[in-house]
Amino acid sequence: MKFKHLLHIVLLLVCASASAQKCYIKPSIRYNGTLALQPSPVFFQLTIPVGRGNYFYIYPTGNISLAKGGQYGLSVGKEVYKGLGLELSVAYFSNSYTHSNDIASRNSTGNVQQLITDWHFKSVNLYPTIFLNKDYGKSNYIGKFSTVVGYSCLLNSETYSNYSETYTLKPRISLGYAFGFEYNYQISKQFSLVGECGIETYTYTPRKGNLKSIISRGESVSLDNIDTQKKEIDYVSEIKDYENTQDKPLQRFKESIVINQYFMSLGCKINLK
Amino acid sequence: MKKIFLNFIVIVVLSSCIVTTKAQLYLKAFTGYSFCSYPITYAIFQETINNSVSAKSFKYKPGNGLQIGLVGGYDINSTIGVEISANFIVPHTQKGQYQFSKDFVGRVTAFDLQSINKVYNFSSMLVYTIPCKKKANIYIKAGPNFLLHDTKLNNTITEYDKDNKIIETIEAEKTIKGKINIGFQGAIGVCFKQTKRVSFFSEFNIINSNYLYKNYTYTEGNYNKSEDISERIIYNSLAFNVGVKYNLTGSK
Repeated sequence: MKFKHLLHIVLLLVCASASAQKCYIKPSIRYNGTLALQPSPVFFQLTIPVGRGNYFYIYPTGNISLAKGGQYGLSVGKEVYKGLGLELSVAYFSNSYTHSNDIASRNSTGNVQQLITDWHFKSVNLYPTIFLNKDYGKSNYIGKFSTVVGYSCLLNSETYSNYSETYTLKPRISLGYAFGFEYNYQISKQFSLVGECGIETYTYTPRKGNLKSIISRGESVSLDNIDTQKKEIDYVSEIKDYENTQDKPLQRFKESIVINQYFMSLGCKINLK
Repeated sequence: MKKIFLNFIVIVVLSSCIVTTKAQLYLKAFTGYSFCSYPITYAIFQETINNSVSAKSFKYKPGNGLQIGLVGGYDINSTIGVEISANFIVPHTQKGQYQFSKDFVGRVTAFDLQSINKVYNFSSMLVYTIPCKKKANIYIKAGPNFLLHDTKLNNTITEYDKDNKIIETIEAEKTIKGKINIGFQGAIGVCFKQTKRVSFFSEFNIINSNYLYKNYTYTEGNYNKSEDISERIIYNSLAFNVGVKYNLTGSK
C-alpha cells in the first residue's frame, strides 16, 4: 500500500509540474533485461526443525539477477537551451524470480532435494535526467544521462521439502545511474512516438528484515510464539559483541541486490502548450 | 597486460597523428578518481565469547582508485564524433586487520589482509556534442568497454603465545586473474575552450561489466596451487575525471 501511495504522490507532482510550464509529458512502457548476474545474497538461512530441539540450516547459492521485467513510467521534461534539456521521470518496476539449488539430503541417503528461493522485488524510481537532442526533419535523436533514486523493497522466501519461510525486507532508498539513447518520430506538432534503449544500474541494501510467514506441511504456523531473534533481522556492516539471546533481533552482514539491466522502451511524447 | 596497454596507447596516439591535416582530430589526457559500486567480500572472521558474537567482513573494491588515461578522437561533424581511449587505475592497496581474542591457553591469532587491484580499460565510443555557449560544449558518449583486471590478496597469519611472543607466521598470497571482458562505458561531460587548440573538460564516466575471473593461484610457503576457474563478479564503477583536450590543427 505504501508503494501505491508514494507512486500516486510522485505522479501528481510530475503532472503538476508539467502543467505549470511549457513542456512535454511522456508515458512509456519498458522492458528490462539482465546485464549482469550477482552471487545470490543470503538474507536469512532456512531453519529446518529435525526434532528434539535440533535444526539444520540451508541457504541459496549460485548466481541470480532480479533485473528482468516490465516497467511503467511517466516523464515530464523541457528543453532549457537549444539542444539541451531536463527531464524528470517516475517509474514502477517489479520482478519475481525463482531460483533453485539441489541440496543433498541431511541423512546422506543419496536423495537430492531442492531449495527453492523466491524473490519479489519492487521499486518506485525517480530519474532526474539531463539530455542532449538533435533534430533531423521529423526525427529527433536524444542522448541522456540519469541518476536513479529508487524506493525499493524485497520479499524473500525459501522452501525446502514441505517447509517454507518468508521474510519482508524493509523498503529503503536505492541509488544508481542510467544511460540511454532515445529516438522521437514527430507525428504532429503536439505528438511524437518515442523509442529508447540504454542501461541502468542501482543497488538496494536492506537494513532490516521481518519474518512474514512460516508454512509447514501446507499449514501456516502462528508467529506469536516465535522468538524475536527469528522474527527480526538487522543487517549491519560489523557485528560487535552481539549477545546471542532469543529476545534480540538477529544480526547479519548487510548484502545488496544489484539491479544491472539494459532496457528498451516505447512511448509517446505529448507537447503541452 | 602492460604490453597490451602500451600498444593501445601507441595506436591511440599514432592514429590521431597520422592525418594531422584533418581539422577534427584531437588528443585528450585525463586523470580522476573512480569509485567501485559493488565491493567483493573475500574474508569473514567470527568469534563467540561467553555467548557474545563479534564478526567482521573484509571487502575489496575492484574499480576503486586514481586513474590516468589518454584519448584520441575525431569529430565527424559539429555534433557527432568518435573516440578511442585507454586508461588504467593506479594499483590500489586496501588493508584490513583482525585479531582473535585469547584462547583457553592464552594464545592469540591475528590476521593482516591486503588487496591490490590492477585495472586496465580500453574503449571506443560515439560522442554526441551540443554547443551550449560560445566557449562551452556539453557532450555525452557511449560505447563498448574492454576491461582487464586482476586482484592479489595477501594474508599474513601470526600466532602469539601468552607472553605475546610470535609462535608462527604464515604468509599466503592469492591471485585472481581474468582476460579481456567486454562491457559498457558511457560518460557525460562539459568542455571549456581556452584557446584555438586547448580546452579543458570534466566528466562523469561509468563502466558496467560482468567480469569473468579465469585463473586462480594460491601460494603459501612452498605450497603452490594454480587452477582455471569461471567466476563472475559485477564490475560497476563511477568516475569523475578532469583533463585537457588538444586539437591537433587548432581550427575547431
